Amino acid sequence: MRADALLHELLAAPEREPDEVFTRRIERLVLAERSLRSARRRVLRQFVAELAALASLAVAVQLIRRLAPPDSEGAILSSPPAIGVLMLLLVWLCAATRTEFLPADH
Amino acid sequence: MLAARAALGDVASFSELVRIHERGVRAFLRRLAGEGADDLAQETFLKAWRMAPAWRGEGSYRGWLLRIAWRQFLSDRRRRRPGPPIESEPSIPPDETIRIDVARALARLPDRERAAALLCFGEGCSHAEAAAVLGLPLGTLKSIVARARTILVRQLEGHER
Repeated sequence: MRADALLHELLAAPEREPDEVFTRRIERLVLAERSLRSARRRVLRQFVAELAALASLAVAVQLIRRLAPPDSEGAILSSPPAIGVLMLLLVWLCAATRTEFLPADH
Repeated sequence: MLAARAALGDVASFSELVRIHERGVRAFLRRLAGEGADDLAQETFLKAWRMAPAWRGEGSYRGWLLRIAWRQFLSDRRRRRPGPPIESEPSIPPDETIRIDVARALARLPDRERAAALLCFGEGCSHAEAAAVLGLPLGTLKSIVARARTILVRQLEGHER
């Protein structure tokens, strides 16, 4: 038992005050990693939004191509395909501008 | 609870956990890995931060950190061959020559035996806790500790004669 007590005494971690420099270094690294992750997420979200915008624009262009030659401007705007095109353009506009209004940390 | 708040992403709580546990984790790694132990300790705490949401409150936070530290050490060991472990200063040096001889005997032990001895004698972990840290069955851990103890006690007895 004496040997165990002696071993404990010899192998115990040295008593000392907490190392504030080390703690602050870890804190800085953690904060840096957190902001890096947040920036990565922001870029990914922006990429997805822009991809969606591009897709809706491509579909809109396809629908315009399929439209029959209109009799007049009023007729084309009130026809169901034109309304669809306008809706898609609205989606594109929303998706393209959405990321600009998001808070920096989201 | 600090660990629960850190799991939710609270940096201040995590820093407090670092302040509380850095001494034990660094001492363990220093005698296990020698040079580069502080880099390993840094990696250990960063990994703990990344894994903080996975903390389930099973066992002690210290044990969880030591388990991460042990895995970091093993993974570092696989990558490169580290320098000899540092013969660290004990809290109360009973006799300088005993200290040096025991530190040398400890440095000569295989990694698992050294880690087991440090956890059970140095950190005051129970056998079950040390087995969880090292990822070993309890019986295996007990026999490893017994083997390490025999070698270290032989050094102590050599001084008593």
